[in-house]
Amino acid sequence: MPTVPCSNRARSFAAALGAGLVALLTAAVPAHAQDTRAAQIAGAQAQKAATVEPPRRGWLEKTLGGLRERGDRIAPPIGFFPWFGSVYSGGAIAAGPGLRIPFGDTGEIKAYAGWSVRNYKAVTGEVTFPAVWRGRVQVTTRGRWVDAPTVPFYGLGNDSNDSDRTNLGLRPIEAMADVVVRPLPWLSVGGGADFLKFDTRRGGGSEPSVDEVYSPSALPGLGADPTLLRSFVHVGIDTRPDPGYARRGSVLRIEASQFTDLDSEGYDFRSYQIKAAQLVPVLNEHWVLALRGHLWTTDTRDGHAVPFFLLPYLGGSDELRSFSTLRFRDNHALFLSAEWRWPVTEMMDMAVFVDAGKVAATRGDLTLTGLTTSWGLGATFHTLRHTLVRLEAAHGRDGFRFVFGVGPTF
Amino acid sequence: MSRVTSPWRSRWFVVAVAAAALPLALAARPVAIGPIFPDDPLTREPETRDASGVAAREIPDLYDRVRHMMGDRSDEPLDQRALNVNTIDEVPDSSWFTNRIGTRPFTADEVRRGPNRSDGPAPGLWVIVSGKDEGATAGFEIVDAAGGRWLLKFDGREHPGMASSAEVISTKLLWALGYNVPENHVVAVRPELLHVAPKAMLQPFGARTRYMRQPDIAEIMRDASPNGDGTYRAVASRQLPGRPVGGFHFAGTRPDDPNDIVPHEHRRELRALRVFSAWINHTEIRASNTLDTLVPADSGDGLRVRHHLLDFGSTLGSWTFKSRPRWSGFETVWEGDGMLGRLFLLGLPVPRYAVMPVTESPEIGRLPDVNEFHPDTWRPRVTNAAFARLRDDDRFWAARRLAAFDDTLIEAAVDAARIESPAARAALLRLLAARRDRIVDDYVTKALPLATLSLSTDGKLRIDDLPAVTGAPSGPGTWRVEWFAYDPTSGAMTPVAKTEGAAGDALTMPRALRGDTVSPPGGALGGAASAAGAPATRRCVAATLERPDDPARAGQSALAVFCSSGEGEWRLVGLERRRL
Repeated sequence: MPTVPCSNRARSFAAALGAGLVALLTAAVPAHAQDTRAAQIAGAQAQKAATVEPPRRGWLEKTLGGLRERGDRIAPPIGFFPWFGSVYSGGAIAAGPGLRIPFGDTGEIKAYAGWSVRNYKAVTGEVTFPAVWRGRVQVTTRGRWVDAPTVPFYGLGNDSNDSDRTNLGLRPIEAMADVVVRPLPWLSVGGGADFLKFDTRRGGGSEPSVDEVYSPSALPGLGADPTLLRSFVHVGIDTRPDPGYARRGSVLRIEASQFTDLDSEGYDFRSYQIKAAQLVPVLNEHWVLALRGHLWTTDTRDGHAVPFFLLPYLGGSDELRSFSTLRFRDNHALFLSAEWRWPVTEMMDMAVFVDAGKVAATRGDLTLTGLTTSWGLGATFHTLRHTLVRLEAAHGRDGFRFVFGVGPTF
Repeated sequence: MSRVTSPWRSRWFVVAVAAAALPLALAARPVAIGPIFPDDPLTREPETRDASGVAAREIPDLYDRVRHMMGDRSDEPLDQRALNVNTIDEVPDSSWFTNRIGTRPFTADEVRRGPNRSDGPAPGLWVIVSGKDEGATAGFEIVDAAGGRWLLKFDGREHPGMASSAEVISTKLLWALGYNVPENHVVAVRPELLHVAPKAMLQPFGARTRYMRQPDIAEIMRDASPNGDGTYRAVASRQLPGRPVGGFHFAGTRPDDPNDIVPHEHRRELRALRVFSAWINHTEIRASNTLDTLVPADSGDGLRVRHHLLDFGSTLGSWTFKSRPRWSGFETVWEGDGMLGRLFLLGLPVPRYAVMPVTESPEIGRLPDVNEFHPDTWRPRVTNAAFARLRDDDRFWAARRLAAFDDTLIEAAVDAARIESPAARAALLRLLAARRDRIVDDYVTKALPLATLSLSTDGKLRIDDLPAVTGAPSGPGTWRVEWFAYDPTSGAMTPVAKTEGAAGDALTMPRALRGDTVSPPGGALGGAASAAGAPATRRCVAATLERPDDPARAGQSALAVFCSSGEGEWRLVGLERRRL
């Protein structure tokens, strides 16, 4: 509550009060009227009537009053708003202006520009069309330009070192359309297409540029500016009561993508991802054992390769959290995690977690041996339906890393 | 040009005016009750000023929660006797509160009817004038066939009857306890009789406000609970009379209401609301679930602010759209120091609420077993400044009212909700009765159990104590009484005699104080001059009461003041329960 200095008038009033209640009341009402209790109260009310003022709203009330909420959900803004988020993997937190224009009941046009603390920049425009068929079908389109000057590359495989970092400059342009059908509340299927045009550049930053360390023959995609069309299908099962925050339920998402090289430079490939999670409530949801896994594999035809900057990866705020974003890359990746969560209050959970994963050149190497691990402790701040912020400290062979995340891990 | 005044100026003003109204309370005086005026004890709190200048203000729910999480800051003292009690330690009727149960005989029919002035929305076509997009449940604002305006809120499909039952039962109970609440009815809604008014507005979540259309009805009702006969169960809440001007805070006063002179945290009925909220598990009690309205003054002199409680869908075992979480009622949103131990101990030790036995069903939600309920450890979701100032005398006051709620009255309130499942109904009755008993048992010992006090013309002091009223075991019956002459003008007390015993002479006023034999010290018992200026002929005596042999009441004391107008009839005009 903001405080401001007490006015002279208020000080005089307090002084009058200190000088004597009787004098105050005498001034307020006729003498004979104070011979009853009711008259005394009437006198006090007369005093207040002389100085009534409209209620004032402080900055907190004004700010929070501008947010519309319904059942513990805060409605998205309408019009201009300050945007915060991530513009590209490894870019860290970014901010910038945003604009949201809803249309229909469930459609919206959203645009935002972000500039990250690592000098990543992005401009994004999205159109989500109003859902049809009783809200079961929704089409989303998105266009995006990104400037990522220091995309890290540590080499292929699990044995890379933190000191091996090189940087790549990347400027992708993306145009995407996705159709999602939800025949049942817990089931979604969909598919779409994604036009991707990459402009690769010398990496910035203090680390060497990737082209200074690797040759194009050793690293497919180095020096290339491929133009790809990604067509994809996906199916999802989600039985969590609220995807934003839950203490029970299952999640499964399978996605298959076909990348077609529109310039016929040998970058046709397929990508398959399976993500699964299970929230196991223990003791009436007091504890939650959160298990999850992510299998990400690619497939190429003869004479084709996956550009190294599109290879499956591990490391970052969600997977192998003690490692930098994009820390490990190769043709295939496997990630497993277990978290033990417990509530501190209604709005805060704590968790200990163990992450394990590996990348591999061949699918046969994607075994449960030789996993790289990280472990840590985290705090999650949330409402009954939304995860707001995650603060985590994780440790692995690269040392400690602190994670600031927005939204749930899954 | 409008003048802007700082909150501190407002705060000073509130403090000053509240102090000016102190005689209403007599609370800050630790030793004596103070002057007794001819109109004491007040039975109605005067509200003398026209409040038509009060402006509408909305208290945003999110702000309200954050404010309460931060402690609903008040600089008012914590151990301060309630400032709006009259000289006999009771809460006078006011725009906040009306003495009902516990002050007069009460019937089951009265409870069943509660605040209702009608039988619900008039049958016929119901015209939707807006879609409800705030709060946890979907609903509409309608105008019924007779022109009455109502808010319809539907039960969730997974919990048929749960939220509407909680709403109606809590409405009846809180009304009987003395609070202003809206008229709430369980209704069966026929979708085909709902018609959208041409200019009805709807604001879908995250979208712009637009005109509502007939197909929106089905969309809003998609998760509503069907009755099986083509109707849907809902609660119909009648629009409160008067012009809405926003909710009230539980701290400070409303700066634009000239009659609001007692800081809300020092209003006994708001402090005691913590006790009643514990009873009905009203964890969502906060400013955004209250509403002030401007209504015509009874005197016809302008408008007055009337203060209401509303939105009881998250009471009892209901969490509106789902069963109440186990922690609800046991923890506030932010537990402060209590959280530190939990941060790094992997959730150990396991809180009792995580493993406690519960009563649970789709119709009534989830309530803890009564053995797990303790009124002092019960917690609202966010606390407030009034609850933080709840004292033992406030607890006792609340317990007396709850003690008057016998099982038939509770049954009447529950039956108004028309719970379909006999087992759920029985469970709710059992839990409400048991929670009441737990509160009464715990709090009736918080003060000397004086239910009624009287002094006969021959000087016999009659004490009806609360355990005898409730049937609970009473402690030893010995009383220690010290008698005083009492000057009603100054509140000065002159000791006369001490007596001790269970009855008879021990509770008989000493002859020295009887007006027919001697004029007690303290003047000719003249008291304050009458309003007309004629000398008064009141005589007053005081008695301090203790229960020396009752360990449960060790350190408890009461001061009673009786005045006689000269005809020999003694009237209780002062009572203060306190700890020595």
